[in-house]
Amino acid sequence: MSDDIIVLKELSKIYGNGVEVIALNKVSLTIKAGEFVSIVGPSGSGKSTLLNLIGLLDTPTNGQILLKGIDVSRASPDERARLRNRELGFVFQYHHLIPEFSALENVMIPMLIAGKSKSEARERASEYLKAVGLEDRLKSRPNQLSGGQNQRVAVARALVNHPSIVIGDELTGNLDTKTSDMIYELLRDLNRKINQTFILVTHDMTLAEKTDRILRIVDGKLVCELLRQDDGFRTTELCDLGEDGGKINLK
Amino acid sequence: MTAVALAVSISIFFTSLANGSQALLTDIVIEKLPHIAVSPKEDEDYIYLYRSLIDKIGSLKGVQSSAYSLTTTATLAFEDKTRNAGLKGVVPEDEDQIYKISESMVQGDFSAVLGGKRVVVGKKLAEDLGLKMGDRLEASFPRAKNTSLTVAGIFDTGTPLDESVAFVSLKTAQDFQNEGDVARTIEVRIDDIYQAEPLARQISLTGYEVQSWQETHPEIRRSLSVGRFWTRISVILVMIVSSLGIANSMTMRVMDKTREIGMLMAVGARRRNITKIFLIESGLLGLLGSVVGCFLALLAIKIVGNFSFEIEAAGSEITTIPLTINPWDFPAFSLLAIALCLLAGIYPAIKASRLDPVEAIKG
Repeated sequence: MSDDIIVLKELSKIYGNGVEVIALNKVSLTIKAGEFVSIVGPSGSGKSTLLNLIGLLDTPTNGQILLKGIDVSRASPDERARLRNRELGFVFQYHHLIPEFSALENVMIPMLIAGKSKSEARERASEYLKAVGLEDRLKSRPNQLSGGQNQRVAVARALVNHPSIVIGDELTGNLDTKTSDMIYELLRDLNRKINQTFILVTHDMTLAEKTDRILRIVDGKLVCELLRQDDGFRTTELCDLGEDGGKINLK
Repeated sequence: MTAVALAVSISIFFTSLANGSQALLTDIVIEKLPHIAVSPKEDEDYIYLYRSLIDKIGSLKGVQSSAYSLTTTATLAFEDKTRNAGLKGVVPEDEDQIYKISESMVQGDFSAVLGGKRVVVGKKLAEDLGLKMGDRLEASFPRAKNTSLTVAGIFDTGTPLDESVAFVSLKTAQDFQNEGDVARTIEVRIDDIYQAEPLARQISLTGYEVQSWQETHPEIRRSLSVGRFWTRISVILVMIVSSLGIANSMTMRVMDKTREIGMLMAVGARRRNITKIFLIESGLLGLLGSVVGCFLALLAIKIVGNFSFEIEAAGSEITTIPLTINPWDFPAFSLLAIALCLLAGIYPAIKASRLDPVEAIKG
C-alpha cells in the first residue's frame, strides 16, 4: 500500500452566484503519512478552502481528492460525515468546545458519534486528556479552563478517534506565544511518537517554519513548496515566494 | 421551559376551574331541580289520572323518584300586607325527594302541612308579609275558594323558591282550586341527569307534555356547553402561544449554537444526528416544562381553591371558587405539551441539520 495519505488531482473550487470566483485553481498535491505540513498564504488566497476540501467539509467543483487511495471527492454527505469521524481530526482557531460539557465529555463526542460505548469513550478520552497534560481537569468545563487548556482539549478531541490526518485551521491564532509553542510541541511530539499526520493552515510564519513542509497558496494556486532540510528549507522546482520570501530561512 | 410550564399550569388550572363550574351547575341540576317535568295534555288543564301515571313513570328504568303536585297562583294576605305566590300542594315526603325542602327548614317541620290547613313558607316571603310561626294568613284568588292557612314552618333554600312558593298539602291545594282530585305537575328525578332527554321522550309517549331539565332550564345547558367551548379555545390558544415560544427559543438556540453544530458536523455528526439532538432538546423542554407546570397548577389550585367569596344572587352564600381536579388532565396536558414542543422543534431542528459545516464553524 502506498503511504500517500492524501492525493489532490487538479482540485478546483469555484463559487458562482452571478459572478464566478475561483477560490482554488487546479491544485495538485500529495501528502504522505506522518508528514507535518503547513499551508500559508495571504488572506483570501484559498488556503482555508483547500483545508475544507481536504477535511471533507466542502466538495470540489472539479478534480479529485484521494484519501488513502480512495476517491472521496463525490462522496455523499453521510459518507463524508463518516469519513470525517473516522479518518480526520479537526482543531479550529476557536476551540468550539460545547460549554455545557466537561473537558472529558467534549473529548468523548467523536467516539460516541462513531458508536463506541460510553465506558470505552470515557477511558480513551481520559488517556488523551492525560496525554495533553489535563489529567487533573477532566471534569472542568470550558469556562473553567484557560484558552491554551481549551485548545489542548480540542487537540485531544481531534486525536481521540485515531484519525489518519489532523487538520488545524489557525489553531494558535488566538493564543499567546508561550501557549502557541506549547501546543506546537504537543503536536510535534505526537507526530514523532505515533507518526501522526498534521496539516496546519496558519498565518504564523514562526509556526510554519517549525513544520516539515510549507505549501504557499496565492490566488487559489499552489505557488511554492518548501521542504525542510537540516536547519532550513529548500524549494521544489518553480517557487514564487513573493512577500513571504524574506521571512523563510532558505537553504 | 417557562413557556411550557406556564402553558401546562394555565391549561390544567382553567380546565379545573371549568370542571368545577360545570360540577357546580351539574350539582344544582342534580340536587335542586327536577330532572323531568310532566304537565297536563295539550287540551287539558290538569293531570286527572296522576296516580296511574306516576306508577307508570316509577316503573321506568333509571327513574329514582317522582312527586305530583298542584300549583296555583294565590294572593296571600296577612294583616295589611299582600303578596302573590305559588301555592303548591304536595305530598311532603315525595316533594323532599325532588327539592329537599326538609333540609332547608329553619323553623317547624315540612310534613306539618299534612295537618289540615297548614302552610310552610319561604323565609323571604315570611319576611315580606311579616309572618311568624302560628300566624294565620288568608289565601285567595279569583274563582278559587278562599282559605285561612296557619304558618307551620319556614324554609330557607337560598333560591327564588324562598319568596315565590308556599307549600300546602295536596288536599288543601285541591280544595283551594276547587277542581277535585287532580294534579298539575309530576316532577321526576333520575339516576343520570344526561339521560333526561331520552327518558322524557319515553314518558311523552303517554300523551302528556314532558320537558327535560335541558328544556326547562336551557340557560344551564347553554352555560355548560359555552363553558366547555371556551375552556377548549383557551387551552388551544395557550398551547399555540407556548408552541410559538418554543419554536422561537429553539430557533434562537440553533443560532446561538451554530459554531458547536459546525464542530459536531466536523467531527462526524450526520444531519439526522443534529436533527435528533434538537428534537430531543425540544422534547426534554416539554417534559421538564410539563413537570414544573403540573406542580404550578397544583399550587395554584390549592391557593385559589382556598379563597372564599360571596355569591350575591344565590342568597349571599359564602363559598369557595369551584375547582375540580381531574387527575387525567395532568398526563393529558403534559403529553399535549410534549407533542407540541416536538412539533415546534421540527423546523429549528431541520434548520440546524441543513447548516453548511464550513459556514457554521465560522459562526
